[in-house]
Amino acid sequence: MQLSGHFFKAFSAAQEEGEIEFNGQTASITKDDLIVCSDIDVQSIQSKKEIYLENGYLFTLNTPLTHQQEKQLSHNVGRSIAWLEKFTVLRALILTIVLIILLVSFRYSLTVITPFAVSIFPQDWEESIGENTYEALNKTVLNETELSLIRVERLQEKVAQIAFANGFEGPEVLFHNSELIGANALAFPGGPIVVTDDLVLLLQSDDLILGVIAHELAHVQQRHSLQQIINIIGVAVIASVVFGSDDTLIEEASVIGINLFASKKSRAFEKEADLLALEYMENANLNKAAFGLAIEKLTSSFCAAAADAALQDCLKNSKSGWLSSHPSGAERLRYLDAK
Amino acid sequence: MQSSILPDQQKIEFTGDAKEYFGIWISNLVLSIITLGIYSAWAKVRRETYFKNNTKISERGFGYHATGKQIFQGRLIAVVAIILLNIMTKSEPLFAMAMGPIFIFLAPWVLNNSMQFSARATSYRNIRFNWHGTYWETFWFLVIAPMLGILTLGLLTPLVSKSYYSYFACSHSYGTTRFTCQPTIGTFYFAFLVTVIPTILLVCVILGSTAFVTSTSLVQITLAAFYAFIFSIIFIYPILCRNLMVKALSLKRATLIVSFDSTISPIKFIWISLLNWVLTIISIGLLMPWAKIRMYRYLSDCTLIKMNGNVEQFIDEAKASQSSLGEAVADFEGIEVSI
Repeated sequence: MQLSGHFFKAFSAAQEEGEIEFNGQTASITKDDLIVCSDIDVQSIQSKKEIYLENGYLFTLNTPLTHQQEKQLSHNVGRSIAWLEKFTVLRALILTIVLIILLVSFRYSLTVITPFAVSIFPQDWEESIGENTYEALNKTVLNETELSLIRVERLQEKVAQIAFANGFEGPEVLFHNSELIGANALAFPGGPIVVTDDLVLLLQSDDLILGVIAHELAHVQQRHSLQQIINIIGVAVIASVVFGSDDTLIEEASVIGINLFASKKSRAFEKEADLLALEYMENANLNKAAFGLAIEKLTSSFCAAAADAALQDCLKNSKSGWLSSHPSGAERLRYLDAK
Repeated sequence: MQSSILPDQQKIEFTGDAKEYFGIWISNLVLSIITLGIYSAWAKVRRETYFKNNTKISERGFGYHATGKQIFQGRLIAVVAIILLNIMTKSEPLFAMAMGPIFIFLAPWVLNNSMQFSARATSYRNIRFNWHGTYWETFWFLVIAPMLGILTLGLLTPLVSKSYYSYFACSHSYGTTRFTCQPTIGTFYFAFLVTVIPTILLVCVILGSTAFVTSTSLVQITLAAFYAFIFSIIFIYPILCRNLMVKALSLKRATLIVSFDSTISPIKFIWISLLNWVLTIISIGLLMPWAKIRMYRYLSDCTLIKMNGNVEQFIDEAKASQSSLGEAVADFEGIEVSI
């Protein structure tokens, strides 16, 4: 196949008229029947007109390659991809359906992949993530506990009993004073569990405090933090595939979508931990209703900040916000009471 | 030899169309998912080649020369390096603390390599572009100086922008010919003021006038004004800076001067961005190719070029193609210079 056009020598923007002849995947350029270069590998063909050669020459055809000529010059794989890329309504429709099926399958395979990924993730790595996160918080927002040593040791001993009764070795439970966090308990990946002085002072009764700690134990035992990380990575991958990651506005929208998903997942983990906490308490011969009482007390304390009219709404509100990481207090009490 | 004296001033033409690009985009996505991301390196080449080939000056398109294999190798090395770094940060907390400074000092190397790779992979009339930024200049102009703009609450932002954009332009070359770009500092301060002041005033006037009705407090107005300031700095001001850079840009050889002009309107640019954003989200990403083509065409239409002299004078430098490692790291770590 011999075609006419212009060629550029390597490193030059000057063009000269000439002919190009193809022999398989190599090409030769001639000018006025004199050989300029011969049997040079074709590096790439772009726009059906520009033929780049391995020696740095560029040959620009006067007329674009026909479909047949292009087919002769490309490899099998290249031909198949070019066929796939060529737009027709039917092909676009099929590819769109294939894409949607792939993404939906990937999304739902996350439910299978996540427990597997969690099961092969080394326990000591998870613990090291937890310890590092705890250390960072300990240096910034956590202070020494002001509770008596006797109370701290008694609670720690009871937590060890809950863990023993449920057949596992519980993580370390630490008590801290923190103005920023308020009445709360936190479970770090793989442990430790941190309980604030404010929570102990608010709940007062050991059983109520143990109910909350049992809930945190469930988070650690079920490796919820790790599951959440893997789920978010999976959904972030889908979002970056669908929406790309090179547009600031669309990237922001993807992040909002991922946060909504993360919140929904987090509420599911909270519910699972709530129900497991009841089981742990029951197995340790503790009053399982104490956990519901603890949730009630915490909800009342949270809602106390609201104005009178809003107070009742806050207490009765059974719907969780889209961005809430926890189910609402009323919703939690409903399913805890049912148990 | 045929001479190529070009007409006086012309638009940079973009001949791509959404239908054609949709075929490439969806094939890229499907193949990337099926091959668990491996094909994405080749997908990038297909995408870049399409956009470069359809970007034309005097009816001649740009060429793209990176290969999928090159990009894949770079990504593979970058992934291994990032995994190793993460393992090291997990096992040695001191190393984790050092990661921030390490990335700051690594950023100029990553940026230089990434920009050199992109520039060397692009050609026009068989002449490749190049990037000549040095480690310390890139460190100062692209990494440290932008922080000064933030630290001085925007007062030095125009000064920093001028050096940032000038350095970006002057460090590029077309073959052996370096671009020159000498905008005046006054134009950057003017652009800064016309961007920031009207936006803040507009927000303050709207909120101020409704303050009595909606009981908007002074704190809320101040906060809204701050957001307006950030919005104008992130979305409007860079468009004006790009216009100033392109207007001051030129390429000069003995008897040839190439100058540029840019007429992007910030309002139209933001309008296109917002519409693209809404339509991409509504169509769950399926209108992304249309959105990309629309934005690319607008940017091309608004960029003008004027050539006085013979374009055949340009010559290239005999330099090997760069490794794509820097670009891969930049992709993964989100380090980029986006102009």
